[in-house]
Amino acid sequence: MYQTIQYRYSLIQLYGEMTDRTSSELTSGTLLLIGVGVVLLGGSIGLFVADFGTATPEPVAFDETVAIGLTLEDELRLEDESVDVELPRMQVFYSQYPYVVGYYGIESFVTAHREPTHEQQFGFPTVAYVTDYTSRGIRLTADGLPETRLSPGWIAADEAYYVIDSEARTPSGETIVPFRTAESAEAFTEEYGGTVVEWDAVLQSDVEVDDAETVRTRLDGHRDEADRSVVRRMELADRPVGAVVGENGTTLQDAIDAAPSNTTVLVPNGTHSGPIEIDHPVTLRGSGDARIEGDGNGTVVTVTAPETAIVGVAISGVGDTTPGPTVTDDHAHGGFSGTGGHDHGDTDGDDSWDAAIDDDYAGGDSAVSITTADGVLVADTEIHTDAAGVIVRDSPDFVVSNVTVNGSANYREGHMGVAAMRSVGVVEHSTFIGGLDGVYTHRADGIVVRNNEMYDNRMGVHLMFTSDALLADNAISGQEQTGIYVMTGPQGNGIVGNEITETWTAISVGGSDSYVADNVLSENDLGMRIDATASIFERNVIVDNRNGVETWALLPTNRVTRNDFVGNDRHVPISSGRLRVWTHNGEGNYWEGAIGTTDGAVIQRPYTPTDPIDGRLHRVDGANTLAQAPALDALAGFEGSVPGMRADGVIDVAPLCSPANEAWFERHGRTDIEPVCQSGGQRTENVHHD
Amino acid sequence: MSRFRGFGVVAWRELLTVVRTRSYLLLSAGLLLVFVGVLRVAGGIGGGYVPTAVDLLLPLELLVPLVAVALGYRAFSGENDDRPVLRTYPLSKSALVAGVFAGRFVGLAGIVGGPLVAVGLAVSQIGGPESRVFAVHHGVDSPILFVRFIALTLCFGAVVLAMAMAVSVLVRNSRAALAAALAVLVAVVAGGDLVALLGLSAGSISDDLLGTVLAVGPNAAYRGLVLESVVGVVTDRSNAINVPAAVFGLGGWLGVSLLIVWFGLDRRPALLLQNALDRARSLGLRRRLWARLRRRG
Repeated sequence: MYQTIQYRYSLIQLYGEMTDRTSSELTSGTLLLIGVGVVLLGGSIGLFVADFGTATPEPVAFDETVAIGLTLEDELRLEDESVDVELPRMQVFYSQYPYVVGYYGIESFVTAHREPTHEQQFGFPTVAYVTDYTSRGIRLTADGLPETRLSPGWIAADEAYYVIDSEARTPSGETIVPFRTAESAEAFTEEYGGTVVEWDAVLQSDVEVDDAETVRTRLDGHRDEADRSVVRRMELADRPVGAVVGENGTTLQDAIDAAPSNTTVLVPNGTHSGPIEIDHPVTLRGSGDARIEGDGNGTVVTVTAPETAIVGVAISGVGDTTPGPTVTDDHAHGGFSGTGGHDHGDTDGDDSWDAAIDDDYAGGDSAVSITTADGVLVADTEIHTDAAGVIVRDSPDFVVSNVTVNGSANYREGHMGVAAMRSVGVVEHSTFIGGLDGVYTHRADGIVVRNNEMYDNRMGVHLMFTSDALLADNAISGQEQTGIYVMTGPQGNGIVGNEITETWTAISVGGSDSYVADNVLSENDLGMRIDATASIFERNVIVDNRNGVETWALLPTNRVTRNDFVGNDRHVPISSGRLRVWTHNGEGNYWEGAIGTTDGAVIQRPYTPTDPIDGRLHRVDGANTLAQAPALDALAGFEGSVPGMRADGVIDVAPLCSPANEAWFERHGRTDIEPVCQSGGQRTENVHHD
Repeated sequence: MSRFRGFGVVAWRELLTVVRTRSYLLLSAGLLLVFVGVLRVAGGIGGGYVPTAVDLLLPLELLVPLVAVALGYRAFSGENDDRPVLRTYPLSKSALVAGVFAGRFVGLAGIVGGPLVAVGLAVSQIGGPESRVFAVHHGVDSPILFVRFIALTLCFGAVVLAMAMAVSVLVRNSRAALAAALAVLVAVVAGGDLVALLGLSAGSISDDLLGTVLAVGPNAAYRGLVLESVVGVVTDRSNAINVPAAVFGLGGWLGVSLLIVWFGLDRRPALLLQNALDRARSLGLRRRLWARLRRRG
């Protein structure tokens, strides 16, 4: 009523105003309003037409970028070997990603930006800078690494001239070298070959950089290679008998010394005293219950000869010297932050960057110590030790097969089951109980650790500075810290088919370009911690853990699809960095609790495991009802559209409606899986299984 | 200039009406609350202007028509139907239509734009990500993109306002006006998209035409323009909609609605219809009365 009276009043006022005013006044007022309207209209059109190019950011210090393309090992090694090496680098500012991304090697950017999800996660590059070698006195080292007299500056990527197909290299392979001027690029080609091209041609060039898919495709080859290596080494077990322990009153060491090279020393049933040393290539073969017992001091079997084999014996009486608290205590593992905790400085005069690591991780006593001896076999052997089991130093092509290492019940007092220091080989069908780490590796690129069982250690498999390893089909449980721990930023590791249970953190994987697939992680405190970038995580079963997967790597470059998240208290409790999209080619992961309509393969409603409501869907009554509120449903719609600009989180825009590993759930009689693929839709097997 | 005689005064009066109605202020405060709630849940506000716009896009698609209908549906109907009086003033029809529209639009701009500007200011204060270790930049995020978003939102509001006014001029009775306005609301919020969806699944809209057909619905045009000119700037992905068609679509709805207001101001098609219905009803009543009387007799 009040309103109506007011309205009538305003009508009277209006009449008064209109009759009082002269028509010219009216016109000018109206003109003014129209003028304002025109200005507003013009302004709004300008708002849309004008190109409001934001100020182009200047290059930043490379240390301040989130850098990829070089392993920590290479970084440390290069720092160590030459201060003048300046690898070609690139820094890219993306339209929707707040951090500047640094690339070692222009080619690593070229391959990264071809990834179909690259632009979705980062937006497009607004400006990119590359290393400028013009007038910096560039020359190549013997390995093809670029060295400069003056430290190079930066130049915008689209203004530079590039030399491709020259002799220049980074530790990862061939590299593209950028220059400010065409002349200096030409001058470089005269000395080191190659062709000069411009930016567009660089983007089109067919550079090849190994990535996670390379790891996936070479899995079978890697296995075959390991098989061949094992077959070759196993032949050592069949050498003709050259000496028998006990004959003519010989001791074990006497028999070894007496046996000609490439023969077998037979170790009969009974206990034989150690320690012993094998300095020429023979095979030690036990029969019956043959035991070698040390005196409780030092290492029991020391091998310094290539192609030595130890088969079918039991070894005990190992001294209890271990490197001690530097290794066992929770030190700062420099997994992803520069030099980290392993840079202990040079304590023993050896000036190699990793000298201290040998002392810390491969020191102390062991049952078997193998040093600079290629192609050694340790098989069918049972070890009891309070220190290390087998320590392999600088001895490639070793095989450890069907070995049981019973370590110290308290891992703080024990040491590694197998420690492979700069030694590539195969560790298979072995059992590691107690002690520090089941298998520890240092710079053992390409090592294979498969089909082992590991119980109650600190860690099952611990990779440091080790790239291209294959960790397959291991059964790991009861680890105090971590089932499989890949640290110090390596590349190209394959972690497949492992079953890890009742462990603090089942898998913690760092580095880049790695492949983590078909693992079953159950009943752990944390299923997986992702520190790696540019890696593929697929078909893993992550069930009944307190926390499913944590993701820490800053760059959202991983492909995480077709994993099954079931029965975890929280599927993805923590995520740092920007919003990640865990969907690739229209398919994501299976999330217990995800809701929405489906087309028979995927659910149309995005699932955000880090969201307070979605994250509760599978365990809190009522979350389902709340999640379907129009207000929240509407929000879910566009949430994945600018992920690079959103903080912490994971979104799956095409959750699977049934588990990718349905067979696993059936085999284990899991009834808590409710595929929500509707009848009428196709069954999922045909749709998204290779 | 006589055609626009009185435009300013009418516009001012309409604006005053909006300003004096306290519940509109409440409406604006309510919107701000909704925005804050939405942004808290979705988290876009910490990311910058574009994620904020993305988070607000769908809520605004629902709320802007609501506000526009609330402001427009009684412009010329019910208690406010003072057209007979106004037409006696020295006031041209165009000035009346334009004035009422402009005044109410400025009101709408305040009600919807105010909270949006507040959100924009909040984004500028909260800022983007920070890091002590890494260099940080804002990408192509910019307040200008948010201003674009506000401008597009207000354009969308203007279109629905004009549509609501057109309905109010056609329907005199205030209850009928409310029903008709709600019909407009439903049509705007869901109608266009559903028709496009039906057309697409029936095969009558070919795939390459979808971007153009979508532009016919005001809300799809609005959504498409935001995706194109705000979000698309950051993602570099365009083709959300046929832009000229969307601009033409929004402009078309605005123009046609205002024309309906202009033409309907003196004529009363709905009133005629109403009278016809009333007559028919009373006829039916009389017939039933006769029938009853006859039975008694």
